Amino acid sequence: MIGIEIAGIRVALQIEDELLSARVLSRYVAFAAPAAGAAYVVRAVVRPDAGMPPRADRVWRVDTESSGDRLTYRSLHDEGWMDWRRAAGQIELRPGADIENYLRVLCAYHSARSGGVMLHASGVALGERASVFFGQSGSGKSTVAHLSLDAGLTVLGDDIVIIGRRDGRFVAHGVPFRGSNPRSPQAAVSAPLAGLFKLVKARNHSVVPMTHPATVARLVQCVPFVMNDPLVSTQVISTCRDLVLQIPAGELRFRMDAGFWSVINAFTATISHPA
Amino acid sequence: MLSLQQYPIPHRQVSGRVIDDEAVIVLSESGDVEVLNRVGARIWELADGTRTIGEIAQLIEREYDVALPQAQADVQAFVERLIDENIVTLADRPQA
Repeated sequence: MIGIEIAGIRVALQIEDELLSARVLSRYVAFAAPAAGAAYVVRAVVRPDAGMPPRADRVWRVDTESSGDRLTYRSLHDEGWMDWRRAAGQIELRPGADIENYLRVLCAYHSARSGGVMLHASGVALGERASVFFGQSGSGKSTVAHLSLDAGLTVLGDDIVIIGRRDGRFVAHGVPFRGSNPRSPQAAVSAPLAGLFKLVKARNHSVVPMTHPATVARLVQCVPFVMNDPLVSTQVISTCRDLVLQIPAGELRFRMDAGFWSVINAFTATISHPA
Repeated sequence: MLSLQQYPIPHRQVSGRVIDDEAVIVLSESGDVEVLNRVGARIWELADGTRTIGEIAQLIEREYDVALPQAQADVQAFVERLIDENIVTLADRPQA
């Protein structure tokens, strides 16, 4: 058994294929954890015809379907399921395929079902304060992450960030799920969430406050995998509402240098943070 | 124009919540997200399958101090928009 823990979600992976086992150990080394006490046990099986039938467009996609306690999952090179009641799942992969998409979906659903949320966003920790940057593709999520990395800050993720709850407060967690940049860090660290920022590229740095409904709407647009399930999406909307009530949120207008941190720090310092 | 006797009900693909008097609506099939303003959010909230369009218009008349014919026309037009966007559907009888 291989144990990994992402955002407090511990998964025990039962992998018979030695090559796959070695890849998983190497890929998730920063997130290694004891398999004992895992919240989920997932069996991984290599099967040459796993995944979607061959498609002409080869566009990456993930299909999920939720029915009662069972989630089914299918992507280009892998497919699987998760039984929430039994806390057990299975993934079947083609030779050479990665378990990452399955883990992303598992983390997205687990987070949503437990009062957190997985966001298509980047996250940066500055000491004991984390900021999360969200927006549509091309808005600058990975740019902000890598400018922050160059400035010596801890990047929690440049493509995906998980926000969970700890002692009634929101916490941003680092994840191993990276974007396309090979420099993407994989930090198994977490920090209390201090700010939420919708990204807009601009000529100067500024933060413009957003209304709660507008922030919730923009946040839920950045939630992958789970929003096609009305029950789960209702939970996600409630979580995002709780988020904007607790955490300062604004539109970060920024240019291509790390000077945006000064306006972020000024913004989060002036907005009251309810206990 | 929609009949005042019909019952608007939430579309099965929709989830949403009223936040600060506005409604954030998620359409799961398309992934689209809509934000309804204060009056729109109130109409969407009332369109739960237990009230006719006419009954919703009467509540809007009282809550927002508008003339009933105006409230009826506004609610009919807004419900029509919600139907076009697959946010609500219509029923001929009240829904449990």
